[in-house]
Amino acid sequence: MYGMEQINTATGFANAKFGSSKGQGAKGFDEPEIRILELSKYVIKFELLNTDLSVANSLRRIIIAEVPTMAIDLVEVKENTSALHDEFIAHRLGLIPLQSFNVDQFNLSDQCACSSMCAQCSVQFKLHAVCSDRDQMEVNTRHIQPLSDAPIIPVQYVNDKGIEEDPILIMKLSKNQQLDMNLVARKGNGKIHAKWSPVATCQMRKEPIVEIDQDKINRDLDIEKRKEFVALCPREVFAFNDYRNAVEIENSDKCIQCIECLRFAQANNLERAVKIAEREDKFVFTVESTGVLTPEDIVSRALQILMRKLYELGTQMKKYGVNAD
Amino acid sequence: MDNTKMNDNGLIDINEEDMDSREKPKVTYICGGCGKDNKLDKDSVIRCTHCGHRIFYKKRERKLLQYEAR
Amino acid sequence: MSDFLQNQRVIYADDSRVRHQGILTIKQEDHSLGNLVRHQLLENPRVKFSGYRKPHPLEEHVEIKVFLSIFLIPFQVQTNGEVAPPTAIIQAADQLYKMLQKLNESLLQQAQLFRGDVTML
Repeated sequence: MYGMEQINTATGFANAKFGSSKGQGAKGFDEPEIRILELSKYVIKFELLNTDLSVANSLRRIIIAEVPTMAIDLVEVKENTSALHDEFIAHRLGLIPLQSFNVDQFNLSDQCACSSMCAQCSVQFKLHAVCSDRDQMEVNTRHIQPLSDAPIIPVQYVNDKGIEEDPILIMKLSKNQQLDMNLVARKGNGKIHAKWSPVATCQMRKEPIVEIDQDKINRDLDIEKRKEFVALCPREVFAFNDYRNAVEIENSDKCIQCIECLRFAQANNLERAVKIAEREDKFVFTVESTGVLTPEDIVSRALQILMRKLYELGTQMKKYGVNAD
Repeated sequence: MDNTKMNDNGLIDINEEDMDSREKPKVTYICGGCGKDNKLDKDSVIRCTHCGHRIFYKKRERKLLQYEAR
Repeated sequence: MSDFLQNQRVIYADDSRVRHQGILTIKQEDHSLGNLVRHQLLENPRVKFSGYRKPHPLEEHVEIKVFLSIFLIPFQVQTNGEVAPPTAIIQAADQLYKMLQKLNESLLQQAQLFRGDVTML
C-alpha cells in the first residue's frame, strides 16, 4: 500500500520500473517520519514520509480549519464618525491576526461555563482614535489597546533582518473624525470562520518522479529535437547541456505532471524513454503562518488535535466491548 | 399648551398664531468642516454658524451598537 | 436509550442482518477524521469493507452537527482470529494515534534543531 506499486497509473507506466525507493510491501513500510526542509519565522516546509494520502490530507485539513486561535469577534461601537460604516470596520478588525501562543488557556465561548463573557473565554481591547490636529490620520493595530493582562495582542511582524514592520493599517481618519470602540477577542477555529485559520497557505503535494533514458533520447533525437524537448516543458524540468549536447534533468521537483514531455516522446517513438509519476508515500508540505503561531507549532498542534480525536474514538468505542461477538 | 384642543379626529388643533410662538423643533448636526455642533430647524439655512461650511452630518445614535466581526 | 445515544459523539450500531457488520457514527466530524479512519481500517487484513460518507455537505451549518458514518464489514480470516468491528476500530484508532505521536515527536525534535535554543515568539 505504501510502496511504489501504488503509483498513479494515469501516466500509463508500469510502476515497478521506477522509483528510487525500493518497492515496499504492504506490510513492510518504513516508519512514518517528518523531515523539515526549511524553517523560518513564518514558513515551514517539510516532507511527510511513509504515510498514506489520507493522513497527509487530514493533517492539511486540520491545519487549515481546526487549529484554534484568537481573533476579534465582537465589536461594540461607541463612536464612529469616519467615512467607513460600522460593519465594514468590524469586519476588518475581525481579520487582524492576534498572537495566539496562549490560546490553550482560553475556552471556546460556547463551551465556557460563564453565561456570556468572562476572562476565561474572551479578551477585551479598546480602540480609540481621534484625528484632531492633522488633515489625515492612520488607524493601525497599534491603536488597539488591551484592557487586561492577557498576552493576546495584534501580531507585530518582523522582516528577515529582524526589523519590525509597519503595523497593519485598519483605516484612515480625516480631520475631526473619531473612532471609539470596545473589541472582544474570542477563541475559534477556521471551521467557524476563516479569520481564525492560523495559516495563510497550507499546501501539500506528492513529490514528482521524473526519469529519462538519457542514452536513448540523446541517441534517437537530433540536436534540434533535443532542444525542442527541453524547451517544451513549461516548468523547465529539463536542461540542455551545451558541452555534451545532451538532455538532462535539471529540476524534477518543479514537474507538474502536464505530460507535455510524454506526448512529445510518444510522437517521436520514445515512449519508454520518459517516465513521469508521483510518489505516493512522500508529501511535501508548505505551511505559511499568519504570525499568530509559529509554523512548527501549528503543525504540532494539528497533529495533537488529530491524536485527541483518535484517542476519543478509541476510548468511546471501548464501551461497545472489545470482545463483542 | 392650554389652548390646544382635541378636534374630532383626535388631532391637536393649532392656530396660526400658536405656530409662530411655538419653538420650532431643532435637530443637532455635526459640521463637516469644523466638526462643531449646529442646531438646525426645518427652515434654517444649511450653513455652519462657526465656519460657513455647507455640509452637515447626522449625529450618531446614542445607544451602543454591537457587531459580530465576521 | 435513545437520549443516551444522542448525547454521544461516537455511536456504533451492529447491523442486524449481516454478521460482523456495523455502522459507526461520529458527530461533529468531517472528512478529516472519516477518510483517515476508513483508510486505516482497510490496512487491517481482517477488514473486508470500510467506507464513509457525510450524508449532506450542509448539515453542519443547519444543525451544527455533522454525522459521519463509517460502514464496516469485517470478515474473519481464521476461526481463531475473529475480530469484531469495534475491536478493529479501536485498533485502527490506536495505530493512528501512535503514528501521529511519532510524527509529532520527530517534528518537534527537528524544529528544535532548526531553531536552536532561541524560542521564537
